[in-house]
Formats: sequence, structure tokens, C-alpha cells
Amino acid sequence: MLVSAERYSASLVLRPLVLPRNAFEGSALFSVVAIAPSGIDAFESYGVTPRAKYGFGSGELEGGVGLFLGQSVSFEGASNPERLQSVFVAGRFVIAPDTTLGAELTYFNFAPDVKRYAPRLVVANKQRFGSRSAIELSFAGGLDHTSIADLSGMSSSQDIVSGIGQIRVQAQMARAVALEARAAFGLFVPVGTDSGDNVLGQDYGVRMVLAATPIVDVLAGFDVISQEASVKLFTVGFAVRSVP
Amino acid sequence: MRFPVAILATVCAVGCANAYQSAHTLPMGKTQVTAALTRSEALDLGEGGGADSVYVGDLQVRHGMSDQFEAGVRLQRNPGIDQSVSVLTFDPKFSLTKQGAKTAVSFSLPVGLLWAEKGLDPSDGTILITPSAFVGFELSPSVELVISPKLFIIKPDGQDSNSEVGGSIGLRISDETRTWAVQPEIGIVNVSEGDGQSFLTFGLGISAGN
Repeated sequence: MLVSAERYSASLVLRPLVLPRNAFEGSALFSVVAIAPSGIDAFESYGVTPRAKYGFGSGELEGGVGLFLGQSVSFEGASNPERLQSVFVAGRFVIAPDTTLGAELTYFNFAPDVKRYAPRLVVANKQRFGSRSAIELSFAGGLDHTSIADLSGMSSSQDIVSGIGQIRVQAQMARAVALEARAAFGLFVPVGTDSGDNVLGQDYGVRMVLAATPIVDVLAGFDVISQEASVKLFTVGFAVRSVP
Repeated sequence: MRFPVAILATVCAVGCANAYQSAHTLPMGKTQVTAALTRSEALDLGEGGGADSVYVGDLQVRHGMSDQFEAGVRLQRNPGIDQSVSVLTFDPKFSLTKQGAKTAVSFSLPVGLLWAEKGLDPSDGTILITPSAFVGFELSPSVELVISPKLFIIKPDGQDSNSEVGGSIGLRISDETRTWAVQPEIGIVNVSEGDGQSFLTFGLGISAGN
């Protein structure tokens, strides 16, 4: 049974994919990335991602930045990470009930000598099963253009075409408490190389969304990005909304 | 790329130890989607022990074919890029008790294919059969305790099969609509291949369905 979300709700399951008209949301997610690659000691990197969204009726606009706060070790001879790690802008448009088409662009500023542009087209759909559960499906296709400068000032670049499917399974445990598990699967195809360089990847996560007040959400999540390098992401944050 | 049998046995046993299912089968016509994340840790590492934990992601779609028979498809892959181990399973489940019983008993016979990948090249195809029993006790109208012992029969391509034992115990937290569930589970698996090793698993599954 599909249930339409007529208004913005405290329930994650009942919320639409985009903000209602003239609604505004600001959020900040604090993150700890724990990395334990083989061959070097494990370390943590700390960051925060403030974002803002605005609903214009038939869709929403979103923008945000990723900021590097620090890390538990410094690597001799390596470039320090930039304070401004990423800039993100997106526009999403409702093309059918609970279905959106969006365009996203992320600029990654990993280090003084490593930059990446990642434009994406994203189709998303939400299916509700009654008022207590839902799944969100999305498919993103795009290109990652990465440029790397070496010590002599020469630069090289690499382009990777990607297609990423993601499913989010949502359970509304109580009116204001929801748990969500997600799984994402991606195909990455380097441009200009043979097909043997194509790779599949996947990551997973769980998060809690607590509607602490009618306008404030508290968010907490745990994601496992890579088994090989043991990359784990812990996040906690909040979102504050104004809905007319 | 050729994974040692012990690693394949470990990954498939660890990946399949946790079930994230009710001991009830889904009523006819009902469908449920479950996503889960499981972490495992080796036990009894002995002197100098200290192994990395292994994570496995899990996606299941299950459908009630009749009130006492449910069919499921399940994909498990370790997180990451480039090198992966996957298990794709067809998972039929039969209930011995009626819908709504306070104590539910069911059996499943998952038959799966496990393979390793580097890039897009699959290798190490292995048949995995996991006969499982489910016993569910209704602790309250919204909480079911599910105990699930399992046998893992592992048949790598061109090699002898071997069997391992394990099981899981968990809670299935839901409500009277049964359209959602939150399922924390712990499991234990004994892998006799290689030097022999036991694994403790912990995971969380979240289900949504009609």
C-alpha cells in the first residue's frame, strides 16, 4: 500500500524525497573516518559537513561543504589535507509522485595537488509500506575527473565513469525514531583503459534519525566503506528545519 | 586469483551465520526487503593473536508464496572495491507452525553460490548449502526471540566438500502490522578448515515490507 506524504512529518518514513515549498533545512554532520590500511598504522580523520536545503515546490536545491578538522597522525613528506575538502551543490525535481530527478556536482579538494570534479545525474524513488516502513531506491550515473600534480608541476588526470545504485530500508520504530540500513553498489569504468580495469564496489551503513523536536533531527550513523583498508565512518549531527 | 579454501569457508560461514529473519514465514502475498550489516571477530586467537574484524553487507528480498512457504533471494558482499567475496543464495523456508503461533518453528534450505572477484573477474566458484532451523518465541506482541542453528556445507569447485556448524540468536522487534522489523543478532561459527577457528558475529538487520 502506498501512502502519500501530504506534509512534512516527524516520521522519516512519511517524509517526501524533497522539502516542501519554502521550507529550509540546515544541517551539520560531524564525522570520524577510521582507516587501517595494511602496512601503516591505523589513524582517524575528523571532519564536519554543513549543508543547507531549500524547497521550491516542485523540487529542492542543496549546497554544502566538507571541512577537514584534523587527523590523529601526520604523514612525513605527504601533503596536508586541505581545510576545505569538498563543495557540493544539487538540484532535485519531482517528476512523479515520490520520484525525483536530480543533478549533483561535488568538487573534492583532497590536497593541494589532488582535485576531483564529480558530476552526477540521480533518479530516486520512495516506496512506502503503510506508515511504518519504506524503501528508497536511487541510481546515479556520472563521471569522476581527477587531476594530480606532481612535484615538478606537471599534472595528469584520470576520468572514471560510474554507475551507482543504492537502497535504503527504513523502519519507523516510534513516531519520532527511525532506523535505516543502506547498501550501495557501484560500477566504475576508467576511461581510456582496457576493460580489465573496471571494478565493482559496494558499501553499507546504518543510521538513526531521531526527530527530537518538530524542527530538529538528531542523526547518528555508522558506515563501512572498505574491508581491505578497513575504512569505517562514524557520523553524528543534527538538522534544523523551517517549514511554513 | 585463488583464495585458500579456509578463507572461502570463513567468509561464507561468517556471512551466513546471521539470518535476520523471523521464525514465521511471511503470509501469502507479502514481500519484505531486508538490509543488514554484520561484523565478525575471531575467537581463541592464542598467543600473538589479533585478527582484523570482517564486515559483510547483506540484502534480502523475501516473499510469502503460501501461508507456510516463503521464498527468498539473498546477496552478501564484503564492503570495498576491487577485491570482493560474494554469496548469492536462493533461500526457501517452510513453516511447521501456523501464522500467529506464539512459538514458531520453520526450516530453510538456502542453496548459494560463493565467488571471489578481482576487478570484474570472478573466480573460486563454491557451492554453499546451509540447512537452517528457526525457533521463534514471542516475548511480547512486538518482540520475537529467534534461535537459528545452522549447518554449512561448502563445496569448492574441484575440491572435496566440508561442513561447518554455527548458529545465531537474535531479537526481531516489530509491531502488530509486521511491516517493519529491527533485528539485532549475534552468531557463532566454527570453521574447521585450516588451523580451525571460531568466529563471533554481531549484526543489525532492518526490514520493510507490505
